[in-house]
Amino acid sequence: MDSVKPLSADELYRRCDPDLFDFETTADLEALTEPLGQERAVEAMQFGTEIQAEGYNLYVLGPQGSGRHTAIRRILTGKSAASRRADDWCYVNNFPDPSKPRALRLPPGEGVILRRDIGQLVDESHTALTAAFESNEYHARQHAIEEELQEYQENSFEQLQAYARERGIKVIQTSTGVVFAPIRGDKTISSEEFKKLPKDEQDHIEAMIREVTAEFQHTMQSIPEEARKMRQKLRDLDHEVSMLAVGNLINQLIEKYLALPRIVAYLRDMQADIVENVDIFIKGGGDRGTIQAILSGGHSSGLERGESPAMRRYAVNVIVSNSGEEGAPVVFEDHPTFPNLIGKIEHMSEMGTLITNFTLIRPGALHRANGGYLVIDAAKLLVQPFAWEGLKRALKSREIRTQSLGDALSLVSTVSLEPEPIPLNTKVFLVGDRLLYYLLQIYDPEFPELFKVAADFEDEFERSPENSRLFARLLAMMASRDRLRPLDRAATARLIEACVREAGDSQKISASLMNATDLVRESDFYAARGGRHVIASEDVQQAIDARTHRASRIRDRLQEEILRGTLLIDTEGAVTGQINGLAIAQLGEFAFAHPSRITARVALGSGEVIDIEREVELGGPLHSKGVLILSGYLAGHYVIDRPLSLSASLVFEQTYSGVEGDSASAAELCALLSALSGIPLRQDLAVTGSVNQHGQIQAIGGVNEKIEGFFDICKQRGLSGTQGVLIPAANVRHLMLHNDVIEAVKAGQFSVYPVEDIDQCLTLLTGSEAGTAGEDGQFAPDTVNARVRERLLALAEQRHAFGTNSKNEST
Amino acid sequence: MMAAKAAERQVRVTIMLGNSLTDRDTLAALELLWPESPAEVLGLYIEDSELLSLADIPVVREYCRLTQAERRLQAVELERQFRTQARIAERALAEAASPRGYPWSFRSLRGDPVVLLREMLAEVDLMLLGATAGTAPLAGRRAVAPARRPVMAVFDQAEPATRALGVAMKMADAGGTGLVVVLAAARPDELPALRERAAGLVGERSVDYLEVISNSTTELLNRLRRQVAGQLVIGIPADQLDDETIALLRRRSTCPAILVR
Repeated sequence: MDSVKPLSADELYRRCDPDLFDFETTADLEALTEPLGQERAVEAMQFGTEIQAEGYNLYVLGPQGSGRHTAIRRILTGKSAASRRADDWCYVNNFPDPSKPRALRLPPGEGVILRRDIGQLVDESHTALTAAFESNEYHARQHAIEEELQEYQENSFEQLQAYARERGIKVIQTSTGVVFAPIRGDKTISSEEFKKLPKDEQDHIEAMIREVTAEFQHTMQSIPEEARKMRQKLRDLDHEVSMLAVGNLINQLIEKYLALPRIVAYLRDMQADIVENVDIFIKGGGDRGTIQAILSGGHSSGLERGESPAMRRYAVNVIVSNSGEEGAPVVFEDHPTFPNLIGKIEHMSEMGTLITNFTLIRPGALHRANGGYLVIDAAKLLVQPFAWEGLKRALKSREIRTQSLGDALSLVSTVSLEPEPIPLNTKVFLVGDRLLYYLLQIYDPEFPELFKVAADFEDEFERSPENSRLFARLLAMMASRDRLRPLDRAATARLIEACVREAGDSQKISASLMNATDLVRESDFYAARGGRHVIASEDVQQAIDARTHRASRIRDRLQEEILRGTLLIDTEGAVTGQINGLAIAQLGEFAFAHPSRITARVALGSGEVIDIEREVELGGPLHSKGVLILSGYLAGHYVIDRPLSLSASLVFEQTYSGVEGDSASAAELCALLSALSGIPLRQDLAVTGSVNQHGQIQAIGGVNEKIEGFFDICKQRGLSGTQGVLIPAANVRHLMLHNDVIEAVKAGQFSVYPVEDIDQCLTLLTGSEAGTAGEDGQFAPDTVNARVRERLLALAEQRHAFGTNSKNEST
Repeated sequence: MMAAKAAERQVRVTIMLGNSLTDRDTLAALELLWPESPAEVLGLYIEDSELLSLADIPVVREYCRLTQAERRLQAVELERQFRTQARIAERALAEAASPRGYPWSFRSLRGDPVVLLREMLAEVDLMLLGATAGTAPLAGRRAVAPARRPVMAVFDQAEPATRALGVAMKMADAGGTGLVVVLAAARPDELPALRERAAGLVGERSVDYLEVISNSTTELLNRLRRQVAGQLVIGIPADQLDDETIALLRRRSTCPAILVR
């Protein structure tokens, strides 16, 4: 087998050549406003915004800081400008049923005009009605009607008096009623005189009084009916006068809004209501108190105190006004609670009672975005109680049914409203991460119905010269937008390299604009500190180093413990059944790796490889999978014709938290094979890579951090020149190592070995040939694999012998 | 000036009270007459002696107009009712007069109301009678404050007519309302002279005139009943105040009447 050659320094880092750029500083560049490398997502968003079919709302998924909001804003700004302005919406009183306010749609900008028109109408009606009802003509007619009843009553009374007089009875009016008294001549008979009368005369008087009483009752019964007729006449008079006073005013408005039938219908209803409730316009006649208004079933307040009852009753609550807008509305709702989305009905306290009316209906984001676009952060939406359900209900029914959350949950027991629903025509953009998208797809059956378009943002894009130049324009945009110093070519190149490192792939650039923006800002800070007008590459490097330094406290403490010998890591010598694995830790935005000792012990057994991490529930499923693969490799590679008769245990030493991932499986296999063969493994090497059942080494993540993690320990102990890291060959293209590693490699003090299979690992780690199997399945003598096979066969024999003896003993 | 003021203070007014429904309007008319501490006011409540004489006749009943319920007319009950009404009337007068600083007093008299009123009118300059008409309230009617209705003054050949017109003008000024002058004559040919006299008295003031041909005060009052007025001011010599006129004024007027002697 050919020995594995260590990688050259050039293979460890793919530089960005400043000569790729033909500018002096990014100030020379035209700022790039297009999303870079996100063609698929942009196309999806274009499609989603243009298609008008139901359910074609969008979920924009991608990593944080990938420029989703910027891209949405840019696309929607363009779409909005090309679209017509959305209509205005108002709520007005529904006179027959005030608990169900009426929704009115008006062309954009006309909501406030209608409010002003109706305000003027109410003002003018005040004047016109007051004048009409205080006119002499009205008073004269009203008085005539009242006198008509008065005359009727008096005539009836006079007739009664005549009737009584014929019977010797006088009718006397008292403050509370009437008295029928016997008379003699014109004078009433006193009590004493009456007592002196003969009995039959007294009886006669009594009979006469009964007759008069009966007539009186008959007369009095007719009066209410007459009064009712008079009241009707008064109402007719009021109606006639009111119509004369306000009819013309309202007709002028009807003429103005003739093209809007619902407005016309409302104005007609309003006219009828004014006529019915003219009292509220008449000064001193209709300024009813709140309690009276509540008792009468109306809703009294809602607007500013001091407004007349008529102003309140006929107010126009403009909930959406697009008067100052250009194009369709684009609403970014950053606090998507249920009321902020759907709207709410406020209440106010009056005399200890919570009351409401149509003027207290408040719009939500859906109202404001109606006819346009609404952008919501999915995670924020989902954590707000009932907001997601409310949004789905609105999208599904295609109408906004404003309701207070308290009412919806029957938590509040007070007067509330049921406003007329408003038709909804809004394109909703949910912005969230991928996990949330797939969880919604799986667990919410309504989600795929309502969000049919997924705009998936890339995590990274191809690192081509063209894209590097475009990225430079993107940096120019960032610097210009945030009023930062421009970057020179070297700084631009260094920043691109940092973004390549962020992507974890030397052939890709990270699409995380947030990270790049922050780095430009921080570089600008150091440029300012250095008194430079242009950001130089040293500023970028300083920003990167400072950022690492700020975040690396835990890493430094861990390395300190290794150097002090608290955590046992050897970086020289050779030990059987022991190897340096590499574990990665992610703390927030900062990832680092450190070596971790893996050991293996072998004994006679029934063929199981025990993952101690799994046994104590510190190992994740991927790690366990990696360990179980080892059994398959052992059986298939060494003793296909014998039962696997070992009991092996593998453990990550001195780990006190969970271990996940299979990137240590190659190292674990090497440790196990060392334990079986008895051949010690070099401790100046560390291994990372996963292994399959055929012994092939597979790519892993975080390769740069892992190499640097081992390098840092070796460097601090003093580089011996033999130290290095074995990595999967498939990871070579991901390498973007720190400069100190590259310099050490250049100086021959450190090595990075790309390995393709486990035999290459064994060769490097043992310094012996791993050995390949011949056609007979036998390995060349004294090779690592031969020693492993011999040990496994011996274990099988021992097991067989052990089993036979046991059987004999038991029989 | 001082003498004029002193003379004004000596004006004696009797205000007949006792109907809680209309007393407020009557007292409001008093305020229009003298917005600033003016006359000597006598509140008067009359206990109808005729009613008392009927008390305890077993066959005599009082019937409520509203409910038509009947009850026996008992002297004790009537006395109590009179006292209560008098107390209410006195309190209403006190509330109206005290804040204005009117010197006021209150008397409760028993006797024939017509006779007593005539006697009282002979002793005072003005008498205010509350309206007693309008038994069944018309629910739903538009309430227009009497203060917004015009003051109506009867101007005829009688001697007190000039004083009555003066009182009416004062009230119209105080209330900021219109003035209707009723030119009342027995014959049409008397009207131009009456108008000329009235015009001379009202001067440049805007006035509505209403001409009425009548031979008696009762006929005149019947003719005026359909006219809208906040207050009716009429000059009547005490000796011409007959029973029928008083009964008509009390029963048929829908606004307070101010009788000027």
